[in-house]
Amino acid sequence: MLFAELEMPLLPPTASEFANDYDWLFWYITAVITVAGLGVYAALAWFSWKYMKRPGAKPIRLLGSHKLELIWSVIPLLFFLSFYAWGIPIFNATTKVPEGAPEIFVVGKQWMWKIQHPNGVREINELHLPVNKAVKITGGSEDVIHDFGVPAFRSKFDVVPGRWISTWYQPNKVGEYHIFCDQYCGQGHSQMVGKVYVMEQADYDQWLDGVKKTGSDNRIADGSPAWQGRQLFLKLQCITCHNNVYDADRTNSNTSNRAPNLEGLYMSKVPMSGGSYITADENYIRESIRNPEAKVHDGWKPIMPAFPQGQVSEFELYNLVAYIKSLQPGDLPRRTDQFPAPVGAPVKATEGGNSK
Amino acid sequence: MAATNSTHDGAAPIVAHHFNNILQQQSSVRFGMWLFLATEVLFFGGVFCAYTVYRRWFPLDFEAASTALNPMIAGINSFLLLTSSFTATLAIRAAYTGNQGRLKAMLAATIVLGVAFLGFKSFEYYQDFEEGLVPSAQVANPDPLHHHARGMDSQFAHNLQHVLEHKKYYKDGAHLEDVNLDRCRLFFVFYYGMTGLHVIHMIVGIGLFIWQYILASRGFFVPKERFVYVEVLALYWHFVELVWIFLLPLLYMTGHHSFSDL
Amino acid sequence: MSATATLELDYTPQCVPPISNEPDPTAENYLNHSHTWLSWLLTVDHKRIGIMYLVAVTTFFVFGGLAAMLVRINLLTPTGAILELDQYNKAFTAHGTIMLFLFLIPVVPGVLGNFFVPIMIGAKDMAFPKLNLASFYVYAFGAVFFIVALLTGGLDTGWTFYPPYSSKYSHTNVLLAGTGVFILGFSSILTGLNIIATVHKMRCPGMSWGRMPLFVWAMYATSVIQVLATPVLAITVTMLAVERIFGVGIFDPTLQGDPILFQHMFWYYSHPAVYIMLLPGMGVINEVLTCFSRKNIFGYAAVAWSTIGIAVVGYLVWGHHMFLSGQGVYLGMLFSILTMLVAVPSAIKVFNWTATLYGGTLTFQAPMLYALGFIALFTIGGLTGIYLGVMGTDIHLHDTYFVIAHFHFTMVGGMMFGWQAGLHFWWPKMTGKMYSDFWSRLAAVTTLVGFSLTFLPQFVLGFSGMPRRYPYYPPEFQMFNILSTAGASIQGIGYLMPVFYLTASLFFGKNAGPNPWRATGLEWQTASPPPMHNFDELPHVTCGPYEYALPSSFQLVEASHNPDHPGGDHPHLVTAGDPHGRH
Repeated sequence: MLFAELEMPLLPPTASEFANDYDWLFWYITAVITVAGLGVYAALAWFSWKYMKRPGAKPIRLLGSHKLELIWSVIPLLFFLSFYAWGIPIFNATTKVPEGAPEIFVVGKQWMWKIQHPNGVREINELHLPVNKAVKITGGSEDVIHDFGVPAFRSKFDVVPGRWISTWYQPNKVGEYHIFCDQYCGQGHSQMVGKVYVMEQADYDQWLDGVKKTGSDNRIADGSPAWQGRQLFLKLQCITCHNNVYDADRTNSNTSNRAPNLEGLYMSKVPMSGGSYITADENYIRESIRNPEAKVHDGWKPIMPAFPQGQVSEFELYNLVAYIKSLQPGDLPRRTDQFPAPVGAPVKATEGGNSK
Repeated sequence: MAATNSTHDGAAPIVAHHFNNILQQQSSVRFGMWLFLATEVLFFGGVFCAYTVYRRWFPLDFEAASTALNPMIAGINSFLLLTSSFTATLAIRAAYTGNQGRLKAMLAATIVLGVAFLGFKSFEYYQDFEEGLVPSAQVANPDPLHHHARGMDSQFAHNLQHVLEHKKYYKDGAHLEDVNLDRCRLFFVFYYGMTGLHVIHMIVGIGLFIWQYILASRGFFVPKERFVYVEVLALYWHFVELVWIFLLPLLYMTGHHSFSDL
Repeated sequence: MSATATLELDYTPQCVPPISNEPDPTAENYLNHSHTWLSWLLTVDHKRIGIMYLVAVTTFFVFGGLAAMLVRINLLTPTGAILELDQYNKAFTAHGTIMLFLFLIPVVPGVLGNFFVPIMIGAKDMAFPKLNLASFYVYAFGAVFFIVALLTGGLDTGWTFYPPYSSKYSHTNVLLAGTGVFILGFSSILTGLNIIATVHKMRCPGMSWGRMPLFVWAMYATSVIQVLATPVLAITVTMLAVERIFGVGIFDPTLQGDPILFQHMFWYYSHPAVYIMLLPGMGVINEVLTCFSRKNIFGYAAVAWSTIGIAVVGYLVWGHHMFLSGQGVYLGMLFSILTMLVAVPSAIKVFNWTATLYGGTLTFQAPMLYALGFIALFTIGGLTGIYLGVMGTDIHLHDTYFVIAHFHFTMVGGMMFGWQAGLHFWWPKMTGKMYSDFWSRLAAVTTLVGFSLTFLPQFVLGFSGMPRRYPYYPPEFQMFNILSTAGASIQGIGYLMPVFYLTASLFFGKNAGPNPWRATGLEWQTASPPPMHNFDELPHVTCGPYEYALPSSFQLVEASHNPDHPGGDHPHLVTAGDPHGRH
């Protein structure tokens, strides 16, 4: 075949179930518009030939027809609406991550992709995935807007600084596929590319073994993001305030502690000062570390120092959030004197929030 | 025919060559100004839209930052500007009836009131500058752990804090530590941006009024025929005033002010 | 003694023809009434301003085209044939910004709009002639900023200026270029304002809204967009400039700003802006198709209202550029369905144009070939837009070559072909000279072939996943890129040919006469080139614009015996009873 010899595939590979669903819609639209387009072309060609000026021919005086106009506006509209209606579930499918899918964190940075697996393994511009397993992909950016696209999965999402956006894949075909940065990001935009390697489970395990020994504890394994987050949590002295030591009255958390207890925080409803509630999802926890006063838990003073990118990189931030997400009641280590309060934090808990 | 009329000094004809009659010309001029004002609405609309988005997201911080502004000057300025709109309207009538003396007086009054506005505005900017309320990113305290919270590392933040303490911002039950000073800086960007755009429009307007005053001295405004130029300039002036009517609550009346501050 | 003669026409002009159909090379017209440089540079005549725009936009088109050729040549090999990475980024940015801000937006409003809107509605000039000249100089002033920016270090943000890249990370002339965009925006606003006021206030007796040529309708809708959307771009680039100069974070997430807000405000202008670029082209097509098929437009009201519909709904669809930016699913759904709605008026236009050919007597001179090319290419361009407006299919195609191909099919296949059709249609009117029939037809066909070869392969590339703005690409995409570059070369020849034969026609072309296409519009009922104030006497419109299939006869009366026009020396034509009862 000509195209095969020139290594010029007419169609991109499909390597996930979603890609097949996507292609159905794509080809449906293609079929409809091909028929419509050929119809217009046939009419143009036929009229051009039939009514080409010939001796003695006179044009007819035809002002239009509302009936015809109605037909050719309503019928296309119906087709357009069918495209629209079909497009919604396709788009929604990319946002509905299957339960329990392990999460891979992607950081865009001029001009590379840094990728971290759930077990803490990191790769640059490469992503190894086991076949037939759903994975969640979350993306953040350290500088400008990027876009993490994998054509074989028909997947793409903008990687925007200041927030995380997620999607998911379930690769169903072993192979090697492109990763592209699809949002223009500067000089090296076209070099911000990489490969997805979809592997059989056995090959994947072997690859993983070669890279990293994982711990046996499946909750906080050595090297996992949550494990690394825990180290960071201690190193940054978060534990000084965010602990489960209650000095006096456990019900009156305002006076008993400087900061909310983080155990079981993830996806709980958090009361805001002002009376509203917010669900403590990833982006909330993320924002609360970068900009602690953005949305303050009701009853606490906004005394927490912010942790900008210079102090906590996007990866470290992800790991911290992963740790906080993993916390169940009783998980927090005891605060001891080996973790002194951070500079600027109140010396005594009873002083309340004034940082003076 | 009106088309061949000219002013007594023999200058350009009243009806330009491409119009058929004076009414067509007048309605075109008026229509053109309305279109221009539509453009201006969208122009200011863009920055009002951005302001609204951030105000909605950061209400507390914008409130605090607004407290640092001077509502007294803004109040005086509102009075001046509204009055100048009134005198501009009187100028139209004078131009229509051909009362050249009153026309010049009203134009002059408008100019004086506008200039007074700019004078007060300059004083306010000077005050803001003296208080250091300039949204620069200059770092005052390089210790990141100590004051990084709330953008307190900048000189601007330091100054703003000072002003707010001076104005006894706490006393209404508000707390300075609830405030993110990065966002206050954003407020000040909008404050300078929006008032700055407004001031530019005022300067253009005053310049045009001065030009019309000169024209009026030369007897350009033939009664009942050339008043439309005064009319459209007054339209523009009303628009500039209308922008101020929006700026006043959005920028100045957002914060906590009390009479003792004034 | 009144001498009379009868003039039989196989069509009905929109007004009583004020002059005979014979060319009168000795008559004074807007070109020959004065010859000094100053008489051109300080002119307030809308026709001369149109010609100045023609020279300016053609120059910038050449520069933009050269930048495009650099881009295409570089893409011949997967690792960049001639340019470094940053040079490539500057080349595609130069191509995009020049073509959009300096060519596509001003081209038809500036040249054909300026020249023909007043004539087509029977006015002596634009409503505000001095403002018209000012808008040309504002355009020139903005262009200077652009040229300086591009020559002294270039610009590498793409025409979209997305922060935080443009505000914090780019080291190129973002401020200069932003100033250029700001200034050019005001030129666009002033032109639009002038055209709206002209259409509202300057129509001659009998020229009701329902009798306006559809080109005027299109220019009117375009101008409304220019007046109501462009200021938002101006204020948005101002905010971007403030952020870049003072380091404050209006759009910077690390300083509490939001980069997505910029995208919303940018596309609030820039999506309607694509209709600024497209609608005038559509307007031209109505004039050309009817003339060369000798037919009324099929469904005048539908075509006119679909123009307005596109302009209005076009305001509400900007978010379809941002489905993947994290703006939220519900917002995306809203923008997606509005996008489906804006597709309907476009479909109506294509079908109505096709139906216009039915039952006509078609001739295929160059304007008609360009117009047919427009319909053929715009059909593809419009239909492929559906993929990008449907949320599901946009995921994979977003920011790929599919998008590039789609908007070139609408912008080049649409606007460029519309512009060429209009230029060829009205060239005899603007200059009084007729160009070579053979070369112009050849150019039309060459452009069509070259264009299709350039951009059809890019649909395949895009679906295969090749991202836009990539100087380096995986080697399996090379073959289609080579095809595309080959097509671009042919297309380039197609654009160069008119430069030569149109220029040649100025010197060697035969006199065209007032109405070489036997067209009905008012602009054809005056001399070519038109006299200083367009008409020797105020035209009086008696019927709609496209009465090609309605024969009429006029009686020639010696004007000196006509009591309505004492003192006139010219033979005067008056209608001699209308067999069709139009009065």
